[in-house]
Amino acid sequence: MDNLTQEFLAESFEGLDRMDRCLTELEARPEDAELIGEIFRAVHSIKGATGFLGFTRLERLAHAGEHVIGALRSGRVRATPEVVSGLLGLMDGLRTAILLIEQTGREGGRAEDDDSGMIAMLAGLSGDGPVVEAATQGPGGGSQWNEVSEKTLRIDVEVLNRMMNLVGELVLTRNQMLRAQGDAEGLTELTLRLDGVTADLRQTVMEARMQPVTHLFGKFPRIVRDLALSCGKSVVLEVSGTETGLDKTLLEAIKDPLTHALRNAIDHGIETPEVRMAAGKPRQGMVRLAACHRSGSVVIELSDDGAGISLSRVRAKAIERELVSEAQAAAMSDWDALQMVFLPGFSTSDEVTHVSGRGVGMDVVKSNVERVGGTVEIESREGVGTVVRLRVPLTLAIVPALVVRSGGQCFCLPQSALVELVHVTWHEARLAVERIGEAELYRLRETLLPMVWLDRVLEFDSSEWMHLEHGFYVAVLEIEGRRFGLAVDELMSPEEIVVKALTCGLREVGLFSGATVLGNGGIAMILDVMSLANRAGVHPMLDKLRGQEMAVWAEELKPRFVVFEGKMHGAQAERVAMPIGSVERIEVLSLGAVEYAGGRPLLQYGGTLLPLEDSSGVLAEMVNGRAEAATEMTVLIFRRGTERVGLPVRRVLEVAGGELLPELADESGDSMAIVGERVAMVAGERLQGVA
Amino acid sequence: MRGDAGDAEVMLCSLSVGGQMYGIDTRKIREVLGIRVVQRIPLAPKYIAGAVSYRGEVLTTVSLRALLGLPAVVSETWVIVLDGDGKRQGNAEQFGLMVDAVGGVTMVSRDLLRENPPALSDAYRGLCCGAFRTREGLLVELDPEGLRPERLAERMPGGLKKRVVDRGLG
Repeated sequence: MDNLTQEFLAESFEGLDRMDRCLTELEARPEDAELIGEIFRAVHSIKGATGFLGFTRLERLAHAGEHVIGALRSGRVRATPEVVSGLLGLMDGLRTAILLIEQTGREGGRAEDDDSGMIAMLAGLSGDGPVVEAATQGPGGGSQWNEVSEKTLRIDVEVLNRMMNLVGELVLTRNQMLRAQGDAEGLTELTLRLDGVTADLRQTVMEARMQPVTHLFGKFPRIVRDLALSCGKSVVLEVSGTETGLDKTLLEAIKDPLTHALRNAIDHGIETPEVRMAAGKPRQGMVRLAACHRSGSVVIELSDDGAGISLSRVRAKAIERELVSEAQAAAMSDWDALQMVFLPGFSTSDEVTHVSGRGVGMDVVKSNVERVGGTVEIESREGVGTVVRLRVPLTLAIVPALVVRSGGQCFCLPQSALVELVHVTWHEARLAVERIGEAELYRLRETLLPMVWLDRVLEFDSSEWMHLEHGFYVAVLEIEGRRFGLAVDELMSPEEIVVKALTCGLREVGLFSGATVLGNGGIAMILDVMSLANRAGVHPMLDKLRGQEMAVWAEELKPRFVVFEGKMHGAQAERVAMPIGSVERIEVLSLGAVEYAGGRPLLQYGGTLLPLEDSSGVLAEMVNGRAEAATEMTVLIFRRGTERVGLPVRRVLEVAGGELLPELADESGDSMAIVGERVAMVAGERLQGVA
Repeated sequence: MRGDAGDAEVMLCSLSVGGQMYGIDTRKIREVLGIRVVQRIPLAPKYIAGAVSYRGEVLTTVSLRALLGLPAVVSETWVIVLDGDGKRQGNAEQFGLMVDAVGGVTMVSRDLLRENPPALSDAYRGLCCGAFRTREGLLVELDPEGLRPERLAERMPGGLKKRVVDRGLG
């Protein structure tokens, strides 16, 4: 297709979009001469170009339309709903014809390409011929998206000029840098300039890709009008924040999800006028579409004042579809219950209407938005309305990320998923991670987080000893309401990375969403947080069991013990366990701090005297120097009745779940337990019994 | 490729893997990158050496050694960038090929091409178009199409599902 035709197509589509907006407004303000003028210009420019390009069918159609609009302009014809419908029909006809040219390069002479009916109808409207009923067009007719305008982009000349200037400066700086080689002093300054110019250029190129959301929102008044008509509802659309800019690719990506949500709002949300009157609401339903920038992302909010989502129906439906059990549904919070509408195959609509409810539901909306790194939230109150909130990043190509290291290799974590970073030092490492069955959990303040070890997921040679020796970092990540901790070896630096698509062979690994070239020239893979969570088996529900509940659950599952080394038996130290619930603190203290009163060892601890329980003789062994060159001791502090007591131990081995074996209790009351697959004496009861 | 019946002579870029000489039609080669460190990718199939950055893109790089079932080497490796599929212009994907060393360009006559012998092992079948008998020895012509990562994914047993990391490569 030649350039001229392509330009014509892009311009025509834009003209039709403008006409679309104006026509729906015209219905509200039939006397507005400016609107009529705008519509006239759109049709006129199509007609003007068609003669030159030789598209006779389009010319005839545009001509007939021009005639009606001319009659409108001169005031001979009033913009009645029939006329507006007729003009909308004309617009659809023009769009269909132009789409055909886009696809085939020709106007086509098929039977369905015959416009005589349309032309006669338009002639009737302009008062020149008999009135013909407007051909009924499906609501989808006017909302076909076209391909040419998706590939081309109109850029403000100002932005382009700025870009050109910056490129010029970039070349200049490069030349200077080449000359300055060897002159180290000048180089620093030049490097700084290069940095500045590059940053500006990047910003400007990003701007050039930005489009105001009005390009997308502009199509919605027509959709709302057609939908409301076919559903027998009365709906006003209020649009705000149309000047908000968004990357073109992203704009395309949210088009379908947003349209779907809009259909939902009108079809399922807004009630019929009778129902609304009965509920004491205004007759006309209100749908609001608002866009704004918020902390580095674009938020698009679609709200309606309709019936809202009935939570009892959501619960009932989820049970019916066997998505949850009855008990689960009852225990679920309202928020959680509402989020079930995002589950695949979920629809609360009782009957399938022609507009929506064909099984393509909110899950598709969600997955489409997530594909471009966005999120979807839903809020609803029965009888009051529903809000659907889409949050998308400003741009796709460049994302802020954190570079982390695992198994000697660098990986990028998108900052958008990052909640918090925690350093686990080597002496915390042993106690930081708790196990419940197969699952590993990290206790972060009041919450237990499912843990994922990056090196294990990537099947590197496991280096658990290294984590215990050197400590590790936990990146707390959150995606789609799932929060989990990702353990990595090292944190590198935050970097603005340029996302490169993966080519065949690497895409299929599934764990990476892209790759990037780092500042040092090396390649780093970008981790896909979603599939990381999936592959590691992090379930959204696990996260919901916060703090207490989780801790209780953990306790019920298996009693947990602190295992430590007690008295020496020859070369081997005795394994002793104490239920974790009775241990208050574990302290490492200097041996020199031990004082004696009446032969009993004591410690000054936290302003009080702490008696040391040394019936096993560990302390005596260490003080008498039988343990080689010990200067420090580990003390478990526990409560005996109302008193606090310290228990010196050789060293703490682990914290693990275990099982008490009461049948093996000996005459002194000591019992045994299997902890971490090895037998250990349980110290707690005997010591507590001493009191 | 062999389909171009008009050319009596063909220019092959010679390369070696495991001591054997191979050749690739120079028209299929985008660029010889020289000695490059290939970033290995965890969980990628064994025949994928990793990724290299090339003109702002991150290219999947296939290890010819692994494809031929040879053990990985720790020494320096060369990377050649091969063109995408000529039939699907635009969306064809370039990819890298990791070899032991790259030699020079040799002109060979098509007449000297011998078809793949029937006894050729499975590892070689599909990768080679045939062999030329030259003065230096046998020069096996590689079929760039057969080396494409997407083709390998279809052909290799267990291909992408078997997530094997070859730690020695790269």
